[in-house]
Amino acid sequence: MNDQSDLRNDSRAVADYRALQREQAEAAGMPPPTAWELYRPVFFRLPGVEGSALFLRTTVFPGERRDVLAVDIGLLNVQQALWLLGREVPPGFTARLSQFFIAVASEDHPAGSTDIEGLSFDVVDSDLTEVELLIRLDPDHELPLRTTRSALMQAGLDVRGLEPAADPTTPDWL
Amino acid sequence: MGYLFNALPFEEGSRMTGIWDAGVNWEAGDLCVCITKVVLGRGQDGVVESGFLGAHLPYHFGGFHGVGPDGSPWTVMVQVAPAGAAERVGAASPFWPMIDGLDRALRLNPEAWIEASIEIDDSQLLGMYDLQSVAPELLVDWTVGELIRGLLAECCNVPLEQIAAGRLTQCAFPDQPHECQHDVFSDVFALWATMALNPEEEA
Repeated sequence: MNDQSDLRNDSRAVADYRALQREQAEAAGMPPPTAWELYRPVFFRLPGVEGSALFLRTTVFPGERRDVLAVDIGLLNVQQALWLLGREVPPGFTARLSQFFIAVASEDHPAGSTDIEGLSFDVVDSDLTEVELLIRLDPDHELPLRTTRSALMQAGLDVRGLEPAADPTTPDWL
Repeated sequence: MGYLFNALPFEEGSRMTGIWDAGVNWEAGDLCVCITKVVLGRGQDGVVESGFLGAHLPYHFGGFHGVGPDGSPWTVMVQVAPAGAAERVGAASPFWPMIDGLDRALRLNPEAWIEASIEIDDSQLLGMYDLQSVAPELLVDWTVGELIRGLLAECCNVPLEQIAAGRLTQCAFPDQPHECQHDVFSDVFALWATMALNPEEEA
């Protein structure tokens, strides 16, 4: 949990993948692959103890707005998996998510509701080890998710990997 | 060390951090058992990942989780299915519903992977008790569920012989003051949770 090498697990995995592709192309005497051949989406996952999970997966916003990051949002419970595709997210989205996850994991009695660019989180209940959240995208798409404080803390670190360019700094408390 | 700790690969210095029983009861019929060690992603929480995986397994029975000597997490998932379940989908192996269930559940956690798996039928369970010199007459009316719960309870540093003897009175620790659960397996799990069953540290 405190190992800083895990902080950018996903972005490091992408970098490793790109390096491997480059090496393989060189070894085969092929030209280096172009950017579109190298990109592997970053995948974030916040699991719950009862089988629910929130997934975020990086993609690009359709059309000509090439500077806009978008994420696919996955809401999973044991009955169904639902993906909402290509939601635009403003710069700093993942940093705010990260701050929220870490705050909820650390506070003695987290409570209240937080809206982060259309993705809202209600803290329904909490105890010493677990927190129950209600994640809501809109009135038709909500997900109850009970998870551990430890998993929330890890999620707070992992989610920064979705948007590394917007958040190049290490959290000051690490 | 319990049977399951010997039958599955664990690095020296691994330790169990949690154990659970999903409360499923299979009373009769031919049953198949699948016990699988899953290596979790670095930094993943054994409690939440075990609960997550179990919730997506149609034949989830119980299990235990822990960490390796370097803190890397793992979980052991136990599944029990009727031998006839595979016939509903025309699968050749009676273990297919459990193997497929785990495969589907692991797609929801791409960082986790299967390190090893034991597939046994109910007739082989008694052999495991025989290996630990448990008198067969103590096991005459045990259900498959109880035989597996016994193997899980053994992981809490309680010998199978003691568990089998304790089932007669539904108390695992008759000579030890404890809050008796009046169910030999729950008794072991409850006392383990208080850390009273930890192996003594070597001097």
